[in-house]
Amino acid sequence: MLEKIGVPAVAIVTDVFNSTAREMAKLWGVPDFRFLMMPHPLANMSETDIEKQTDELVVRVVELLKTGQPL
Amino acid sequence: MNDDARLDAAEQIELCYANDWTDGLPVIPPAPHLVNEMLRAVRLEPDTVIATMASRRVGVTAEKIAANALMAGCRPEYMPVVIAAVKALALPSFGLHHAAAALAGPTIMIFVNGPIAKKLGINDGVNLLGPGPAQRANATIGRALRLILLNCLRYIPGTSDRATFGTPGKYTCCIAENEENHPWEPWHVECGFKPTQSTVTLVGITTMIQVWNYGNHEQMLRTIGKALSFEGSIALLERTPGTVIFGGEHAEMLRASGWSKQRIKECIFEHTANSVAELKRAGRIDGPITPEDERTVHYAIPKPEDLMLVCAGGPVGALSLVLPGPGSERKAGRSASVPIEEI
Amino acid sequence: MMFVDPTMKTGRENISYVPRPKKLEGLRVAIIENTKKNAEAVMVRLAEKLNVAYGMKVSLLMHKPQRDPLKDEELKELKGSTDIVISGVGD
Repeated sequence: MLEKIGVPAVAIVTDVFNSTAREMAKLWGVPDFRFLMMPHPLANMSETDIEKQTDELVVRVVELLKTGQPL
Repeated sequence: MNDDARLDAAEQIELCYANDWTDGLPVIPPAPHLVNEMLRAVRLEPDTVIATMASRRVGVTAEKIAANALMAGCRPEYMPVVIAAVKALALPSFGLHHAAAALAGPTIMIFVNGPIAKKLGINDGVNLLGPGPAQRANATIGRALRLILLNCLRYIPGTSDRATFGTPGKYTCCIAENEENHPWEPWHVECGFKPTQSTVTLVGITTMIQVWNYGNHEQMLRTIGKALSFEGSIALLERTPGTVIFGGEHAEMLRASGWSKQRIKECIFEHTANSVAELKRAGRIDGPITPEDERTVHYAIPKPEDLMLVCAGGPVGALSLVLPGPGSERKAGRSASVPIEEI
Repeated sequence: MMFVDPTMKTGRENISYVPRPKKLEGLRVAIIENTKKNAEAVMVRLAEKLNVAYGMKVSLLMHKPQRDPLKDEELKELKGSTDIVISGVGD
């Protein structure tokens, strides 16, 4: 929806929801939509975990913004 | 019936399994002439869009509803109820996506009010939620909704439906409220409908807790409040609306008390209190426990008026059924009541 | 025997993805956090690190449960106020 209105979007899900996210992408008619995954679960992450995971996510967000979505 | 006809019927049922059209139980194969019979019962064209589900990018048509209702075993005269239930799925007040996709795997309970319940034989009494030969309406209307969730809205277990356990209620869950000799007014009248207008209300529920109590009415309501607010309840922190079904003996006890529905709601509400300290001890709220936490109270629902109280079930047994909501945010989990349009 | 197909399918959307930003420095970033536990903490920390590394500024922090798609008024608010959106965390 965001891409349709002209705003590049990055979506993050936890890894166990890979199939769910892929199914949602298919449902919305963009089956090859690239999204980012991070380890599950989120709810009991410590502050140390959040620091470590966001360090990695920064790199991957930037990479995805540069790579873009499949044509 | 000769062997060929039996084989043909069995092959048709197997074909429905092979097409992944079922809920795990055999379905009635959706032959076109039978689907048309369902459509004729509500005088709808096949491609009429009954409800659009924004979260699924789909407008569910009358034909698809008819096919799934037929597969579930519905009679044509059940179609107005199924259609109203599909409309209720699309309401923002229900919050379809959470109800259908969440880890808690809620049951979606269909409450039917008004004269259509008796007309169609939707059970409001003994063995309210159980199976039986007289339960066709309950069993098949609830099942039709689940087949629509599977086949039309594609809430497929493992991909879009990520329930950890699910519940048996996901196969089917449809009841009528017992409106005869009701201590107060039935749910749809409380919502502003005339008694003669039939309605459907959908409620997402994570679990069903049978509360047994032979004490006085205040003691009984205390145990109901405690059941609504058990420490592991997924609805506890987000305070999604709760529902209580009073069985016959409890309803009569409450009638004899002379208490109004509002007073009963207030009493239940008070008993949904947990201290913040207890919730922290239970790991439901983060952070160290302070002296203030021992005195600070968290109620399981935002206000008494949020409670849905109905009467149903058998007349014997000091039992009521407590139905905590599905979590998520408190504005979702119970649809507005949808009027049933009878032909 | 022919049956009425009881299923529904959505069609493929013909979508043209928006061109990616040519440079990242100074971009306006809108964060949509889905109100699940720790989602806001992760998304806000991620945004802070993007700010430090690339000067990306958070233009909007939206709290949106993952029940329904973005509404028109939410899309309008995003369109006018941001260069990219990062949403999370689906769990």
